[in-house]
Amino acid sequence: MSTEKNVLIAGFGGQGVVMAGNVLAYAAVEAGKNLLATVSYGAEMRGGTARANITISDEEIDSPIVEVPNVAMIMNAPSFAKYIETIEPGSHVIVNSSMIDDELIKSKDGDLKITKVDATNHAIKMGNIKVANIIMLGVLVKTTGIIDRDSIINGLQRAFRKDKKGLYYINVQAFEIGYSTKL
Amino acid sequence: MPETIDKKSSSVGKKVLLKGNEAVAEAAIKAGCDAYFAYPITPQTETAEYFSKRMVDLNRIFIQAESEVAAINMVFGASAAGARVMTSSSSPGISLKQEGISYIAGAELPCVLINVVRGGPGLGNILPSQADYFQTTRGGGHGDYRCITLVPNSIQECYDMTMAAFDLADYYRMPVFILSDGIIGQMVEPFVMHEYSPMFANMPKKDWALTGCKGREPNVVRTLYMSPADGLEQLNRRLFAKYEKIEAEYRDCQQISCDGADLIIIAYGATSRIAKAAIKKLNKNGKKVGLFRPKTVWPWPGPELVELVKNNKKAKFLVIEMSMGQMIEDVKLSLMDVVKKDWIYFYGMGGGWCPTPETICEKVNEVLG
Repeated sequence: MSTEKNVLIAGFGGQGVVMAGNVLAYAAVEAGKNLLATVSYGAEMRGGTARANITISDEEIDSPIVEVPNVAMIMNAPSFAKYIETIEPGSHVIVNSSMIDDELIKSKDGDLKITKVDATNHAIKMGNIKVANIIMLGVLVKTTGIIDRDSIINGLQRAFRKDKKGLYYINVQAFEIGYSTKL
Repeated sequence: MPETIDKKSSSVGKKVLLKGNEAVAEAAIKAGCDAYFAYPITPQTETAEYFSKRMVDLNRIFIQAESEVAAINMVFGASAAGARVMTSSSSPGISLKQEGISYIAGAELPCVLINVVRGGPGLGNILPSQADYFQTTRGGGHGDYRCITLVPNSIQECYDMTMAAFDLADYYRMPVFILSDGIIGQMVEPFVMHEYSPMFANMPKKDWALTGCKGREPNVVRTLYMSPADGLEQLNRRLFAKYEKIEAEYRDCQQISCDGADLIIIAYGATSRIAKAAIKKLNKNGKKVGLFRPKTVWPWPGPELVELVKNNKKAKFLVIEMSMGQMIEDVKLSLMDVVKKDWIYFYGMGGGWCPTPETICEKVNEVLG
């Protein structure tokens, strides 16, 4: 149980919450770990809230219900407000400071280890706002060591087939920027 | 999510990631499902979405019907023509299909049905639930009939059981249900995608199918027997002889740390996974708690449950369901002569939320005192 990481990824629909979850899930398979993932479902829409939970463990994962995430990546202010207090104290939380007000972050940082990433602005600079999620994932992987770098690259390959108009390449680039934290 | 599974089957034998709703579709395709008919409904729509892509690639039949009633009658027709067919839906949609399911059972036709159960009654909600247990295990539509019902609790089982469902349906000539739910259908975990191989060495020929009768006597597929001499009595007796045979041959269950347990949790599907997590915690704290998990709910593994009591006379039982208590009736029927009535406890919920390992631990501690 001690090796179990419950990762929460949250943001608004269209920010690539589910895709970031997919990449992490594929990477976990590539790393030979057990995993169980769930995403919010229902009346979802672009602009609405989206959530993905990915549990990664060296041991068998029994319960599909994640109550207390111990790693989180939060991409917008409403998700920050909604989930920040559900996260286990002492956990690493990567937040998208392009979209979450500094004051709000300061008011809630408590015992959490918060890393601010200007992800959306940086993604815009890269020419594709959609890669903000993978920039943040790079920071998350670097900060927590949850999965090794090579497995993430393999995971990106499974999520973005190389034939998908260069999406694979720009996402690898985005991941490397986050991972090296050259922001 | 779905991971791209291509025509060349390059993913076979590898660990792949799919949702439960997608794994059942891929298993059906591998098992030779010729036609799939359905109407969208949350939380099962990924199954239809997945079929819509793959069936076109394979030049097989995918139809998004105009309604659930239309979809099940398409299943009826295609099955009568000898095809391997499947439909899927979620609770309110399965209710709409019941007339057709009764006809298919009455006509002794094979088909595979998937119910990704959501909260009810009525439109209820789209959250996970197990409140369709009665409907599924007691037939569901009108008349005397049963459907074999397999209950997966992992994505591997979603895949394996769907393959088995096609074989069981053809072998016994009857509808077979996969009883999933909003958790199992929506969750993703890695599983090994093996190739299909039939579970019976001698699958019966479909010599009853309506394939055009040129050069042979016409086959008849019907469910109407107007006069007493026409054979309804014989049909029902034949069906029930078959059901008895299935009850003897195809019950299935899993038992985890039941030996010497003070309390045995009985749960199926998603609930059994949550219970297993709770049991590990309880065992670590020195509590002797086991799990009895039905993998088929019809046929009901009652004899296995009774056998369990023979070997452990001091165990109390806790039935956990995401319903107000349905499977518990089968448990009580099985155990009425061997376990004191007040030793069978219940923990259930009405569709608004799911149990958690913590709430199960609390309930267990309450029962064990």
